[in-house]
Amino acid sequence: MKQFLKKILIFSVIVTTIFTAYEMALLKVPNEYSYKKNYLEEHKDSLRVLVLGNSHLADCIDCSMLGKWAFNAAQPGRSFYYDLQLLKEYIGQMPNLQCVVLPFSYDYQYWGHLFEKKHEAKFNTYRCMYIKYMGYPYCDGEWWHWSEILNSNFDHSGRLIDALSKPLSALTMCDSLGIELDASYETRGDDWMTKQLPDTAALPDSTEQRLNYRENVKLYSEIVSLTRSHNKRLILLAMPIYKTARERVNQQRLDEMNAFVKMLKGINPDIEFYNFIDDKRFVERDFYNSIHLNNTYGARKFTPILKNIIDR
Amino acid sequence: MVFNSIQFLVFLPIVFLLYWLVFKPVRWQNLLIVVASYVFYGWWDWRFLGLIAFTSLCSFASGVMIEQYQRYGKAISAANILINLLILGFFKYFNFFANSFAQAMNSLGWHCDAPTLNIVLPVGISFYTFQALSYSIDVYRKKLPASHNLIDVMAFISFFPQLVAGPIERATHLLPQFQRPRTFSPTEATRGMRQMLWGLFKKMIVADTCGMIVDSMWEDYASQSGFALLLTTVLFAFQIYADFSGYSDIAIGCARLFGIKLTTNFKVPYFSRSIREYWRRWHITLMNWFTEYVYFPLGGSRGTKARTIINTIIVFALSGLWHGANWTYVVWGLYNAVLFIPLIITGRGRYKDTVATGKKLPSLKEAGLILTTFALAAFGLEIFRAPSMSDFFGFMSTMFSPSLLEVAFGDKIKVALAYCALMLIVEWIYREKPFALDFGTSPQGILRYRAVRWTIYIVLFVFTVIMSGLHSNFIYFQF
Repeated sequence: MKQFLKKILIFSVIVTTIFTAYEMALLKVPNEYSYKKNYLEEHKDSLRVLVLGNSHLADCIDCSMLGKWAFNAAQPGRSFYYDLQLLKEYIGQMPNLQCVVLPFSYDYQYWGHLFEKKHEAKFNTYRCMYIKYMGYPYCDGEWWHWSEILNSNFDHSGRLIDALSKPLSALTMCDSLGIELDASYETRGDDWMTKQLPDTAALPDSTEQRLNYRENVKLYSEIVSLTRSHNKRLILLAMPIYKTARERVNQQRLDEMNAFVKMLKGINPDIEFYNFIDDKRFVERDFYNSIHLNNTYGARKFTPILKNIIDR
Repeated sequence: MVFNSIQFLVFLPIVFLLYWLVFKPVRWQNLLIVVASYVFYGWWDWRFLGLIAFTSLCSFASGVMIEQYQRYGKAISAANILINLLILGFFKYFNFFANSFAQAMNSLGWHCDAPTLNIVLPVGISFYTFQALSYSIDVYRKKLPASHNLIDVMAFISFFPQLVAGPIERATHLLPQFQRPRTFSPTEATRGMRQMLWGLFKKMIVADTCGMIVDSMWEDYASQSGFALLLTTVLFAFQIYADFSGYSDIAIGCARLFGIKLTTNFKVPYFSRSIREYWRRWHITLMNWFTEYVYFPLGGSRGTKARTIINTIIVFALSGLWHGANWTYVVWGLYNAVLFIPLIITGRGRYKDTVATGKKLPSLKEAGLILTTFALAAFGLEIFRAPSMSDFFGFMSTMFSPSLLEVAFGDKIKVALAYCALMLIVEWIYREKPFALDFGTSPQGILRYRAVRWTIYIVLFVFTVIMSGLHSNFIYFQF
């Protein structure tokens, strides 16, 4: 028995050492999480416009068109929990910050991977990336959340291999001002207009959606209160969607969206909400898929519109 | 709790150490196994623990009563079978039969609404129910004395390594192991670890990689090329084999750690030379169960050939239905029966030995037979995989279209095929052993060096853990 336990112990020590070395090596490989965190850290004194939220903004706000000192810190799949954590950390450290931009649309109040089993793998991945590369644990983070091997579905081995063969600067999936690189017009594929179609928009019908709703009310309310207490503008954007997606969004959902915004305005009447869902200026070539603008034509068309809003 | 989870990584060493170092007397060890097994199962859904306990209690009571009231042995055993099958039927088949009945009525012109219920299927119910049934039947047949220790019976029915997806153990094989003292064998424990390692590789690397491709192809099969669907068919055959045999390897290896020997469930079935041989090597414990408790009581092959054929059809149809409440499973079972019938008539396809025993490679004829058998099995498994028969026909009509000749391999498919090839090569080398990586007590060649063996273990484990993507469930959990 002793001999067997000794063997198991030696084996465990060896593989644990290898896994630890692997995790540490990954830390050295830049990615968009570490890049955005570092950028905020380095430019917190000078930033004036901060774009937060998920892929809806990460894909199509080109900060080079917003004038100096704007940064797109949005990231695909991010829940508002992490937007709040980010704001909590930086809003007090950004003396020149004038405006925070966040997405909000017809189903955001019910959306979230925190309580949805089907999104569990995604949630584990994000939870890991945010704690490891940005320092934001989800609630009471556990030690194993830090490990990409145990939690992440992102291609960590591929990233490590890329790091050996490519310059480190080429490894982040965003440009220097944060716009996502892979949501381009050229790479959207022939079936783009049927990709990521929203669920047929019905009323929330699951316990998970209700839990998400409750969580999102809390998170958005905190974000609104935080921006108000620091005297910053908060701009909420309902982004354009293509007609294949628009057909699936009924009036009831839009009414719920407006009611939610009204509730937020009850906390801070100064928040601004702009609804581009039915904006006819956005045409086929502006989209990456049915619910996202692309980072080429879409970004070039949308960012000046946002600039006009910010400049008002 | 699943084997490929961090919870199990913590759970197993704790139970192992308690088992050998603290709970030394066999009675205490069995109690620990029961508690550990209920924790293992309850991790998924504690509400169904009562069901396993009830099944165990019924089997235990029926055993004792059969022994005490021998005159009524048949009735007691039948009552136990009925109770267990009613539970299984309710949880697994109620909606299926209600819907099928309503459809049949409607097709005859009588309007009928099916009374469906929102029933959660308890994980592994088919496995432990069959195991429980084997106990009371074997006691009734006097192949086994009734156990008067409830804990022994509970340990036999709920033994955690094989609780949720088998191997389905016969009481005559497993229960006596719980009744006698067990001593720790370092050799067996090491073999167990190796077998678990190989099982993890098959599940987490081969099955999950193939599974991701297969799922995405099935999601949108109408827009795929015929060749892509052909590859999907091949990959699903490897996925289900690697998934299920991987689970069995982990279960058997894990049991070895506790001094328990479970029955081999897969013996390199994709190296079979006929469908008859394939079914002797695929999900062996289920086929043994049906052979012992259904096929033989029906008369087996003792009567006319016609009778043998009918018995075979019944067994395959039932084994199909055992897998789930869907007509696809029944059709899959019947498909295999149809492949079997010519072999019954001609008496061909019996192979007792493993292919190319003592040789490095098979002969051309053997290779041809292996490929043909694999193709037939893989085709049948697509019926098994299809959500419905109309989906199966849709899939096949797209596959057998001119685009079948559009040969193209995506990067992911190449990777998946490379993993499958690696698995096949290793399993070919060790095809005569109980499992791959079974180096034996005196390994030959380069493997006689401990450093080489350790390098293999470490590389395989590290590779498996790092490269495994989704921590998905095992396919057979749903059964």
